[in-house]
Amino acid sequence: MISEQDFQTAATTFERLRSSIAEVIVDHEEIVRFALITLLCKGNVLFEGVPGLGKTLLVRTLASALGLKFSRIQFTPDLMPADIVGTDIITEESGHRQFSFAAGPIFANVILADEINRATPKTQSALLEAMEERTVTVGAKTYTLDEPYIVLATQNPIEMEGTYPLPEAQIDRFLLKAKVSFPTLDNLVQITERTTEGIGIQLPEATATASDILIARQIVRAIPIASGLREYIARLVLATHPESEHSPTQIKEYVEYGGSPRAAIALVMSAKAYAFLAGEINVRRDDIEAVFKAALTHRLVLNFRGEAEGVSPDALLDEVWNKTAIS
Amino acid sequence: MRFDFSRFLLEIEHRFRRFRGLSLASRLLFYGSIACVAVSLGLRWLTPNLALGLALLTLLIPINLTAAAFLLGWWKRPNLPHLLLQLDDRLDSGARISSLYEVRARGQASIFRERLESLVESISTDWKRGVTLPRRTFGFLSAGVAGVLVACAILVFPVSLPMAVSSQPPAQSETSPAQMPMSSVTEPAQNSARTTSDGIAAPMELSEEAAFSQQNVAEELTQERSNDELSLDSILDDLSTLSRGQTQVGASPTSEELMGLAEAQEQARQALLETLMDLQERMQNNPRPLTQQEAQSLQDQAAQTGDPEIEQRTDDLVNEPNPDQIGEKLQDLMEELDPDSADQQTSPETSEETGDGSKQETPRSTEISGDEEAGQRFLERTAQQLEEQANAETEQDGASPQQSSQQDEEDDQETSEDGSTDVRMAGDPDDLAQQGGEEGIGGISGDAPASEEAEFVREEAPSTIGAEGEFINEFVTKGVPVEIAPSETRTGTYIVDFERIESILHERGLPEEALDSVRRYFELITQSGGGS
Repeated sequence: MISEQDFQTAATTFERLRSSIAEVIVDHEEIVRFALITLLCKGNVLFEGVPGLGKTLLVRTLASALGLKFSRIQFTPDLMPADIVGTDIITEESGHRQFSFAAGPIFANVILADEINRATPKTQSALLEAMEERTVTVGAKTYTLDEPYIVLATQNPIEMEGTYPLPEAQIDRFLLKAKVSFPTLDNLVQITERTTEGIGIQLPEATATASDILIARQIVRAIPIASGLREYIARLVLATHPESEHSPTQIKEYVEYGGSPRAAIALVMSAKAYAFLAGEINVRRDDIEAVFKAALTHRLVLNFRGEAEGVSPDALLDEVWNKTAIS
Repeated sequence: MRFDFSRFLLEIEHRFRRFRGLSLASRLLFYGSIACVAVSLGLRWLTPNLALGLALLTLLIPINLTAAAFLLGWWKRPNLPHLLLQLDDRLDSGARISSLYEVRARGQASIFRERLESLVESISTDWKRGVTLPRRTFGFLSAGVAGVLVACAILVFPVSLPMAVSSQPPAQSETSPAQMPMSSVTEPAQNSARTTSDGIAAPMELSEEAAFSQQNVAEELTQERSNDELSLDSILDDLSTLSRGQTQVGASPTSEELMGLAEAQEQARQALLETLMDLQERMQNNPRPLTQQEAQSLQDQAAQTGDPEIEQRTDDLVNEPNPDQIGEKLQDLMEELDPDSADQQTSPETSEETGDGSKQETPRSTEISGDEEAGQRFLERTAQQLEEQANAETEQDGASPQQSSQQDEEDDQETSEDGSTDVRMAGDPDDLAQQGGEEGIGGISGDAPASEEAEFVREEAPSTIGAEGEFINEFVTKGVPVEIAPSETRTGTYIVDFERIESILHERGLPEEALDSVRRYFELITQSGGGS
């Protein structure tokens, strides 16, 4: 049972964590919040943005502040699955040769899958098991990953040539998808100041432990949500399906597939985590709204017409949100 | 005192159910009141003499609907999670009430429950603004109440409808055309109101001399009707009014009813006499046996006189096949009814028949056509009957006959000084066209006493009724199937297609008992031309 002290400790820890990250990362408060939400919800997050916006720095800062083992995988077209998960190699010990497993970079707590869409689908799918089941199977042996475990992937939306869009099965495993926007003028000035003055960027000290994160995860799961809001979330997800009677006209016109049940789970959990980070003790409609697009935007599969007309999934989700009543 | 969330939920639920019942009830009251007004109008249309029980039953429609809707709204339990979520949304409380309900429903004791209870307790002081009556409820409620009041007004206060007829038995509704003006007199106020409200009659264009006099109801009605445009609907109104009048008399037998009965018998004698006079005139122009309608009409009128002798003579008359014998029996019967009138009819001094059947003018009357004379006679007869009826009513009201007579004389003098209403003088066809000659209901003021009827001389004159005739056109309502007989060379011969009339009246919903009256009416207006 969660005690009042546990709750207060967890809240304080994550507030401190957020502050320490904010000291390094200029702007991007929402991106940081999404990263923390993903951590609290035992999920993975996909950041989308052009190069140079600080995505990698954000992940490194997060890993540093959490005091967790960090690993970076730069996805390229020639990257093989064994390069990610590891492989059995022959080792010689006491005159005997034997196969021993050389763990890949996936064996860490915080994984940065940089430009994940540049690897082939075969390599991309090497992450599937780790992202969902938190296990890695090599040959006939399955290895369990240490908790907390989080994959933070990035992809560049403009350089599409030579890339491999993530398959639906994989993209559905990302709890949230956050778009990293270009900094404003003031923030850009502040970025240049922080990176070019003094000793440059210094990653923060660890302000949380794995244990703190695991306790916080329990607290987040215990945060109450009204059954009416659960139903509301379910109706929101159903409204993204073109065959649903409650879906807006634009969804019927431009969407091939809507959100999966995993999307509904992601929405509930994200809302809970958002409420926790906001210092609330229950999920509100505002919490759902805050994570609604991030939880569903990458789960909408547009049809040919939607792709041809360049329809934005966010615009479609706005329509869904506005057309779905809370009760 | 510790916050009682269960009691809080109960209050919310009760308030919501109460308001939901009210909202539903207001809607049903609105729609029920519309139905009530419609039913009330329908009842008033179909049954002018509405029973109190039926009226109350009608009013119970919206009341019962409202009560049932309220109970239904109250009875059905709401979906509490949804209700609480709505309440949270309206109170902008961050879904705390519904979250607390969820936590309590799971029975989990956690830090969240305690915190939520304390937060909800602070919200609970102002929760009622989250469960309110919709604004539309007040609109529906007020409109519904207004509708019920309108229905009450319709049911309590009789509203005259254009086609409102009574469901009288045929025997009670059968009247002679001569009684039609009398029936109008029995309810002068209603008649007047209907004439002005139902929109059937033409707008009244009263001359200065024809101003209403409340002391002389007969004069008022006569003048009003003289200025009204004749229409079939107005005739039907008179018929329905007559039927209602008879119903009221039959419903309350009193000494006044006996007086009225005697008066009605006297009027029936007069009506029969007039019919006989018209019949005699028809026989002179077209000697042939009586038609079935004529025979039936005579027998009906004879039966209304209440005199067995007259009924016997009438039966002999209608059973006589020989036209010559018919003429004699007709004369005898007329003498029996009114010897003076019969003498005037047959006096050689007043009428001089020429070889071609036309009539020459007498020294006391200007040249008029036979049709105009018939119309004139009808007007005089109506005026006389109205006069008598007005006098009778004056007597019933307690006023002395002398006073009434004196007042009538004064009114007569005032009218006669102007001279414009002196349509008794048959020598002025224009006056006749303007003020009389319609339906025999009006057109003559009350300054024509019954005793002066002897001054008018019946004469046989060539009928000008025909395509060029004016008088018959005044009678013929647009759409009524009255045509000139193509085989007849003499003008004034009309053919009335009673089958078409019956079909028209059936379409208009006229009761069967009124059909004979309408038939007799057309016989009257066409008999001078020998209508078939």
